[in-house]
Amino acid sequence: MKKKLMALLLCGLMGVTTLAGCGGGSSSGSTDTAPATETAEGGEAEAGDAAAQAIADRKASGDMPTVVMAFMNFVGPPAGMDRIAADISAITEEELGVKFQLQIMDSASYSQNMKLMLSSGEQVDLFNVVSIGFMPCVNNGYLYDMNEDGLLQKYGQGILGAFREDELSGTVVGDALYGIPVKKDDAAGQFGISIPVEYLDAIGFDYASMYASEDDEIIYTDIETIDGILAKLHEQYPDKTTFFMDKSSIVSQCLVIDSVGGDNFGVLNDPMNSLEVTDLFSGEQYMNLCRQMYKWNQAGYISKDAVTETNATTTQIKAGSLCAYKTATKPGIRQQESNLCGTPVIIFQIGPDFKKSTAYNTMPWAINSQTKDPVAAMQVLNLCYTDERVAKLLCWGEEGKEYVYTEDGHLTFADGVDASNSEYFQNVNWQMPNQFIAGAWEGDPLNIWENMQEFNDNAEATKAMGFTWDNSEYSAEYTALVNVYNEYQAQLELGFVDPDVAVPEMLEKLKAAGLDTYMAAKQEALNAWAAENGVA
Amino acid sequence: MAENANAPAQKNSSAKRAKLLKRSLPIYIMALPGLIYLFINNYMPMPGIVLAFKNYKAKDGIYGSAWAGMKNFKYLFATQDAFIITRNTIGYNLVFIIVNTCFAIFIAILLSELVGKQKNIYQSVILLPYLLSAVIVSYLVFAFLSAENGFVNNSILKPLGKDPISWYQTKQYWPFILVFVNLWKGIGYNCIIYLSTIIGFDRGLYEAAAIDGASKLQQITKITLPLLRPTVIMLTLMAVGRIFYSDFGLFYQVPQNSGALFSVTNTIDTYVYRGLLELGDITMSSAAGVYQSLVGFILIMAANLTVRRLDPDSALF
Repeated sequence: MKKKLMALLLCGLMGVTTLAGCGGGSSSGSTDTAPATETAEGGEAEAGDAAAQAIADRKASGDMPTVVMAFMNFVGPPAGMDRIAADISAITEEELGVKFQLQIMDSASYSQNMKLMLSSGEQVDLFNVVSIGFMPCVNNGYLYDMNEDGLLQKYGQGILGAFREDELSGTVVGDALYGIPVKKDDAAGQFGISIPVEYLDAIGFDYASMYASEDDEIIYTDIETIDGILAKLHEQYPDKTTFFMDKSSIVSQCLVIDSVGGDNFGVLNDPMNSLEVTDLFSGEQYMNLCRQMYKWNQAGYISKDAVTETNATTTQIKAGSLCAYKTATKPGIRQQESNLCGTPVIIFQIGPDFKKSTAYNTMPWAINSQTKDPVAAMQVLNLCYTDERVAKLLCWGEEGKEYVYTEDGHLTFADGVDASNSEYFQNVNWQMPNQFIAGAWEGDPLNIWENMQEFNDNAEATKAMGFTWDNSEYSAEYTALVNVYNEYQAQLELGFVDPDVAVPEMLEKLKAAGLDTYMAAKQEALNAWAAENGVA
Repeated sequence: MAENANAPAQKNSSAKRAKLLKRSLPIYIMALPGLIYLFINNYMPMPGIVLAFKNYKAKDGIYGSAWAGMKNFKYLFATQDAFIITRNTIGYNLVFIIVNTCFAIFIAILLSELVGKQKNIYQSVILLPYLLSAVIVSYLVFAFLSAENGFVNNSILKPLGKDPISWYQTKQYWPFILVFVNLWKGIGYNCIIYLSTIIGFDRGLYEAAAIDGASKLQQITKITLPLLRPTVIMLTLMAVGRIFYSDFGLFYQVPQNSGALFSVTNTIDTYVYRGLLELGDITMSSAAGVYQSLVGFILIMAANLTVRRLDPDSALF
């Protein structure tokens, strides 16, 4: 009896499943579009006409499309989200004849939610690819090609005006343009060290005389000086951890290497001069870093629990358990880190300011490949880059409710509002399309965005700027390599094992996992890219 | 049972059937929510299996994307890691099945001998760890094993005059730590079914045995354990079906994702997770899922077949 019932039950379920299987298949509509036609020659005047025409048509028809914009923050949808979206919508309706909605998700679920929304056809027109990753988005076909029918040329003149041409090259794959970078710090000052002022005072270190000029916020120095400071700090505060680095960003924030294609398996060890894809781990820079860390670890500067430490460096400073940590630098860094640490800090920098090939494609804004109205989406995105009102609403919320102006023209919290009770304080302005036109927050210099532009323009850039690589043909090698690297990474880079023993061991395993094949494929792609773009 | 009771009425079969249906209808209705859940959660996504064989593009949809053959499976077997992750996954699960079953039966027998409030308190306390999330468990373990502030290093090894151990970088201890943590976390839950089965046994058997002079130990070995056999076989068979899956929280969170421990903590689930974290390739993760279910299916069929040969009454189907 029991068995009969079981059999019956299974049969029934199988039957229903088969039916369900048939039902689900027919949902994907064919959205075949004509092959992209080259309209780049059109020129601005024509483009302006097309854009104005699209707006006029939309307004005349009286049928306003809605554009949904999605991005992530760290706490989930803020209370004021719909109000801000309505404010922006008022502007887009007036300017473009388009309604506007916001979808803000917390960072933990953003990637997962977005993938579901993008695969299921739920409406989202504009989104930031951060956390999902640019190449995965391209490979999964989530992104709309903005060169198709000259979409960007016709409807995104403001965007073209906000960037240099080479800045838009980082999101080009083949002939397709899949995203618009965010206006942010594109370069990073490599190997910055942040130390609270009170600790430096306690060991009697004279930092004030080390600034190259009075306006500088960063002291440019060398590893020996830092070594000396750490030794004194260790002596002064034996119970505190002397030095710590967030283990996920050690290579990317300390070394002047370009991890072309977005991973560390085959990099440019001399990115300003050579396009030769070489192995990071047998390179001198990596070895020196690991040896330095090994030395510091042996000297007791690094916590025994560093490998499993998950608290942010700044949280550890705040808690009083840490003396110094590594950070990437940029204009405004001293203020930023002082705020995060809750105490004034001094920023040292060992490496140069450096711009990698991933500078423009880590978090570009993109249009969903399945969007119903790409023109409306493009025009809204264009407005986000050019309209100060929209930029301020996106970055800071509503004037009078979330922020007010100070007398000297800074933005600051409105009366009775602070970071904890504001209905729209996102802390993700680095993800907004254009924070450069959204004003300066109190504490930052008024000219911070000019400084930032200068910093971006002056930083040393890799020769491979704009190179992207689709590694999906090598995903088997990639997963194996990631697993080998993960096994050694934290121990090596935080100095728990002797690099002269462990690096060759890791290298052997990486080779067995297909490092050479992977690097050769990368080199081949890079060569092809260089030939096509005239980079020698 | 129902069949035997109504055996004489077999001629009047349609009326009998109606009566039977009427009688069992409430039971079917009771089972309905569970079946609906099973259907939605386990059967409706089944057609998605094709994803493992596709070159997925969102624009074309799951069924419209081009076929990729077995390409998505390649990474699971491409390296020497394949051996390690398979060994770890199956090895740990085998040990878990044996250790957990033995201890669960042991605890269930102990609990069944208790009476009154005592029993409820013990049972709740033993069950508690099962309800904790793996992240919390990982920090409880960390509180013991932290190199600098951990209980073991500071309050046990130090007073004994031994050198502290960097637990998260010393792999030889981890097979034991993981088995222990798994046991501690799961024992309360695992023993529930055994306990309820033992409570259902006919008390008369034990009374008769006691009158004949059987000791407690003899009662356990001669009555309880033999009667428990079908339950043990059934639960073990079900566990065997999941032998190729690993508890992600246990193998990823509890060792704090420490690289030095990979050779003893990397299982198929953590390998796939680490490898695809940045790649975000859903076809490759589907491939891993299909591979796991397939091996699980084969194993459970084989195990069931073996059981059916040896003891037909205990087989699942």
